[in-house]
Amino acid sequence: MSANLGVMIVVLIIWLGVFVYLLRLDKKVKELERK
Amino acid sequence: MWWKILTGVLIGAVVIAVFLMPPPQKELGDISRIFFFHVPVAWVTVLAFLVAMVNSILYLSRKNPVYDLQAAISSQLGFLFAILATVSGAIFAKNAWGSFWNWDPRETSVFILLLIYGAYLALRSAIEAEDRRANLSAVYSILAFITVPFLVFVVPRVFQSLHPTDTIVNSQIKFQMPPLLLFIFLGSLLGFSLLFFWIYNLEVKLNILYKKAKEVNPAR
Amino acid sequence: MGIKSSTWTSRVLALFLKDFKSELRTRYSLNALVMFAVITLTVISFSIGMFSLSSKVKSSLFWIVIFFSAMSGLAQVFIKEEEAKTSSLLKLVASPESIFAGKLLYNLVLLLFLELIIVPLFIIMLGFSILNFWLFLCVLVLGSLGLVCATTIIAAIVAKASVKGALFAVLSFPILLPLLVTVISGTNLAAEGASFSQGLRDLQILFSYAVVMFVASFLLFDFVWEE
Repeated sequence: MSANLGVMIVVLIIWLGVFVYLLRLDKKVKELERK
Repeated sequence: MWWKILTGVLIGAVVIAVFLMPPPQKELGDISRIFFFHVPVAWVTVLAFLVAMVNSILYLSRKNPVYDLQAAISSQLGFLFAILATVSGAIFAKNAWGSFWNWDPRETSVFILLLIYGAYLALRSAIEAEDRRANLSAVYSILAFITVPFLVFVVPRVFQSLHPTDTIVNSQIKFQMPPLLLFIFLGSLLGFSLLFFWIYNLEVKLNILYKKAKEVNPAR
Repeated sequence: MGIKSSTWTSRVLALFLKDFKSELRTRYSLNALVMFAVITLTVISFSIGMFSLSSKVKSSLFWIVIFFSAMSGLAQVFIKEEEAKTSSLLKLVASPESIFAGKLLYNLVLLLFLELIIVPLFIIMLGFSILNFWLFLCVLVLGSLGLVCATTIIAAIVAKASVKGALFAVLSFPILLPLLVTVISGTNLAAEGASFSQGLRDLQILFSYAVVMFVASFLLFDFVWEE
């Protein structure tokens, strides 16, 4: 059970990182498109 | 915009659910959790292939370079997802059946898709003139797509004689998944599909912006 | 277009004959093709030695030899036009459809001729006993037809790429997979003495593959051939 918890936390952190990166990229693209 | 948030939440929720709930298949145990990631990823590979093919047809009929760009990006993403699908499938296979590769029909199909993507990308990198590259890769994409129905018929037949490994995969997909599991699975499917479109969209826009920037300032 | 079919056929034949005659003179492609096949066959025969193989393995080996020989030799039909810079002239002289048909016919004849040499050699060198020879012949001919239908347009694509290398094989393999699987299965059935009705399914698949590939290539060839 704890192994699962560990894997889950790792994956969540990775996913969070990816998600935030994508949001930032999205914002940057929107800014550049307005120029 | 909202759907991007949805994607984030959805995949996050799926991750939590998949790891906290009891393993979906008792015989295989924890490794069967990978099912909720492996199948949607494989699905996205196929989706990307469809998107690439449609864009190829659109390019050949309308000659708008945007379609070629979209076909290329979809293929690149599809290639990545195909690698993920193959690898996750191999991990599952090792744990469930003992060896990394079994030429099980489904695994074989994903692998073939991987080869098609690889061939497409190799073709694109072999041609420098943009018009030609767009034309030729569009033709290849369509040709490859036409082969797929044959693969669907032919591949299962041949490998039937080898392992009956497919029964486990089949039974997992076809067995009546309890509503909760089905819900999580569909959530994962939707989440990954949305993720694909998000990244696809972003890459297309970035490429277009980059091209515009180059036009304005060729020195960069 | 208003072109009578008889004129179209004669144009295709004329194009085919032009390639055929020039090949007959130099025998450049043909030699390379046959040599490659014979060498591969010899290597296989050497490495097998006295070891006895099942007919399934022999069927697979046979088509591996054919596949790689095709990969080594069938792209020439378009590459030589690009290299000799005669492709622009060709464009002026004939319609894309007739060029495609002519090249396809040429590749088909080339491949069948190769098989004429390789089949007896293979049977002798590997002791390949084929019980239902007529079924084998049907599989062979239909399979070869499918192979050239699928690869001729890919040859045209490769001729226009700047870096050729192994591109022809890389592009052809995924497309040819259904054909290879079916043709090996059909050959195996023929070797083990299956009846025609048992082999019918494979033959049907081969036939539909050839038809589909031909139609698709025919329609798409324009896009490859135009500048």
